[in-house]
Amino acid sequence: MRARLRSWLDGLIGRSRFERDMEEELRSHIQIRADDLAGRGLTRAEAQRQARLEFGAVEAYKEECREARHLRLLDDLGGDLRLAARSLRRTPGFTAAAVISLALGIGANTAIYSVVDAALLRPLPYRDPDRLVAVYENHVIRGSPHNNFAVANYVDLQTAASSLPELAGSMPTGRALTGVEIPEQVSGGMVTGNAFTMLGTAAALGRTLLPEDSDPRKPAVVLLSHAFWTRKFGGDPRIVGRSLTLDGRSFEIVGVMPASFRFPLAWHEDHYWLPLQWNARDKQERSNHNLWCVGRLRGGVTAAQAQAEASTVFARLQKDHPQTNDGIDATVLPLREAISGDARRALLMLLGAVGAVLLIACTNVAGLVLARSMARQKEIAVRAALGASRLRIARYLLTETLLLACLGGISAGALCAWAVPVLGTLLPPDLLPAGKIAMSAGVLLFGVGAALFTGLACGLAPAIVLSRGATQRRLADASRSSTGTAAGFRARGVLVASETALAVLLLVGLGLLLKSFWRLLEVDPGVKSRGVVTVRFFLPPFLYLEQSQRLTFYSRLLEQVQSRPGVESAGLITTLPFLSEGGSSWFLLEEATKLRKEELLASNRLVSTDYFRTMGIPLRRGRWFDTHDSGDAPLVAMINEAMARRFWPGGDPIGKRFHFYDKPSVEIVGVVGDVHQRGPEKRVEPEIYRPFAQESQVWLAPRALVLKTSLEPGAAGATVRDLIHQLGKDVPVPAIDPLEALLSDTISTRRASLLLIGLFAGLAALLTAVGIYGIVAYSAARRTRELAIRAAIGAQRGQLLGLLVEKGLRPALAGVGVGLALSFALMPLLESLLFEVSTIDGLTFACVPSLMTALAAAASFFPARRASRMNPL
Amino acid sequence: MPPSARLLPGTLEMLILKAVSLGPQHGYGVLLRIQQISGGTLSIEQGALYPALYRLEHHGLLASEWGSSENNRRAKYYTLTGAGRKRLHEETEGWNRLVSAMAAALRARAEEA
Repeated sequence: MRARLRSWLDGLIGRSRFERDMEEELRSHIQIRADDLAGRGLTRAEAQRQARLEFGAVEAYKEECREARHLRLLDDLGGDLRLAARSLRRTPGFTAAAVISLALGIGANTAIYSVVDAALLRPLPYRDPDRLVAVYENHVIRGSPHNNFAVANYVDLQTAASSLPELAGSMPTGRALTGVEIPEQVSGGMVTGNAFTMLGTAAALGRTLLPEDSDPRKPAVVLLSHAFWTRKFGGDPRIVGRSLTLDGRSFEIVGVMPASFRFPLAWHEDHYWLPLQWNARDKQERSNHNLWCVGRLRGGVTAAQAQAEASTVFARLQKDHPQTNDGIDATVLPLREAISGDARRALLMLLGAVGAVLLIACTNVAGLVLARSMARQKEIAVRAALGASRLRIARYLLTETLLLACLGGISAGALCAWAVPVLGTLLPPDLLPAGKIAMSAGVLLFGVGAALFTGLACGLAPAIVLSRGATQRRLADASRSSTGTAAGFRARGVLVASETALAVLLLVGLGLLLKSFWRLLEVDPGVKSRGVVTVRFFLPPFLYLEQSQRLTFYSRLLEQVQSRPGVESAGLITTLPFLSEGGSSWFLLEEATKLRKEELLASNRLVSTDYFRTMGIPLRRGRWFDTHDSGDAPLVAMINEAMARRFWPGGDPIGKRFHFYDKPSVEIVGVVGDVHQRGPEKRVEPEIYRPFAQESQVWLAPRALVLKTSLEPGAAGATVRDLIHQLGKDVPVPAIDPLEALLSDTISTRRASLLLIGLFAGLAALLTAVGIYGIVAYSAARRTRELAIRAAIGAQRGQLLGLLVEKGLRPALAGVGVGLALSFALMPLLESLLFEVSTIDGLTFACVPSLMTALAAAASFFPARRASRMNPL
Repeated sequence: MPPSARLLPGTLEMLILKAVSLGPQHGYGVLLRIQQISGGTLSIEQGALYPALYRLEHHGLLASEWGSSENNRRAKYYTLTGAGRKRLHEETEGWNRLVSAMAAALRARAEEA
């Protein structure tokens, strides 16, 4: 073996020496033989001739010698490559069409794969991430399996569940950063002491939070995010040990996390992390559900086993605390699944779509290569007749397509480098736990794999078709230039039919998603967003601890905003709709009811009198709030229609009373229209609105102002921000947005995936049209003589046209049929991505085939018309 | 040339090994020696020798170096390597077994079958 390798390498490296030696050896053989012959009395010239004759075909033996040293393969490959490159250069149109098809197909695949890689495949950036699980409370009665934990339930599960030795909790917080030029509200996370040791990500600077940091007697510490550290402290390497003032309280900075770190399941960007510090009373809390939990499975335990154990613990809690825990179970999910959630399906759908586009591109290129090979069939038949083996010919064809695929792959790489950052901006950040989308090694491998697959897939079809049948028949076929081979046409027909089927599949998918999107746009959000500007602000609790302080601030702010020219009305609310913010509260009805108390849950917001008028929310029953509903007046509430329908179906809620847990009784005085608080896709949940003066809890205090104005939104928002800063210089104003923007953000992910699938389906249809055009144009070109004869003996132009159009239309129609069947079978996979559209939507299933048929007809018609117009002479 | 027996595939290599085992030889010499050993009954086109020589060298059974021939021409001389010697031995034994088996089979008469 070693000898063989050495001899091969010697041959390879000393290639020219090998050739020289061989040359000399053979020559010397002939000379010695000639000497011998001359010695036997032949003349020198005669001896030379005889010796050469006896030796045989020198060149053939040289070739065999090279083969003996395994140098032939390389020669052939080089030759094939040179040949392929030359023939591709000779036909720039064909080459460009093929390379562009492949670049789009491979590029789209690699780009989407890099997103899938970032979102679904790359390991989460924590220690041993496969053992991390998300743990939720499962509120069985409300059919809501993914809820936050109440603190006491967390403590009990952590103590009891041996399969989850490390269970950490976190809750979002927003605090005022003061003692700086522009006060700002900064979002962060409060985490249980074990959170960072459980995740196992090391700090970039200093240390992470440790279990002892949750001891209230210890000094208050904070851990910074990399982004916050860079933005606020210019990346100062000596930051550890300095202090940060949040909500007027000073925290010692103990460390900075690396740039790639994101706390799992965090919705908003965390700028810092504080240790949660609970007192004995906090640890009894079972009705306030606000803790996200992530746990680490004990070695050798599966998520299913942990689920079983958690359920046992919760079953016991149901017995021990029937007041608060009735109907509450636990959900344990692998963290990866919890993070990717619904997006998984959307991404896999996109991957399927680009896969189909790549297949279409391959089919197209295979068709092109096939057409071209058939045009060169005579050449190939001659090669075969001269003794080139079938394998040799197939290899020659394969080399050509592999070269094409490589060119396509390189162009695709360039396309990706441009497209991937754009994709990154289209996708929601919580989808990408591992941070940015990058062209990783996996992505690169995928791209190379896709290119190779393409080359093989494209090259094999023509190789198979052409190597079938006897040489002689091929020679005969090739010289009959009128119609081309039947086998070749059948193959191209099958190719066109398959790409049409794939395009139909994509277009049906697009149709369903498009209709869903249309349905979403048709949903009345419940507000009139035109001309409404929203300004979020935040009263730092340490500055506005007393309710009276807040009330003064609110009334002054409203007064001043409303007195501005161009402002029609202004209102305050706890949290804005469409942001998935704000909490819900359980309440008790003061009447006999069949409803279980776990069902009595409603969103709980405080508003000012003019909030509804500003937002254009209509009154359905009863009365609006007015100036009489002050702090010392009887407590009142307005509810939305969803709440009226759910709790008083067919009855009148006006005058009914309820109360929150241990709070005083409240009377319902009005019913307002539904607002799609969580976006048009989500069901409207029951809502309670109360006058802000009648509730003193800080967490419910209004944090947003809305104003209806004829002014430009940016200018109006800036005016309000200035007013706020005049009233309180330490009040952060984190965001100013037109209401329309908030509304449109609720469907942004859907819009992005629609855009992409639209792009891919369009690409698929276009490539298919090109394929159909190709087959008809090719068929016309091959049949020029036949058509001319037909025309000369009196065939009408229409007949000729029909003859040609049929060549493209027939396989396309077959493809449409197959595509529809595939769609029927596959569209149910999309169900969860659709909104109020059936997976076999009639309109879509009628439109797509018609569209595709029209496209196929057009793609067939134009080349056919050109051919039929030719002068027969 | 005398009437010749057709060369069985694979036997050329064996003959070359045998020829070279008698002493270093250049290609033409190997050829002459094969004719000599076989009593002139085996004949091949002269050029066909070389691919076989190259194959044997590639497999490490032969080694080669340049030298000069009796009549002062530069020629490449082949010698048997250790592996070559071993292979020749094995092949010879295998061949003898095959030949005696074949001979026995061809001698067989109907009643013995």
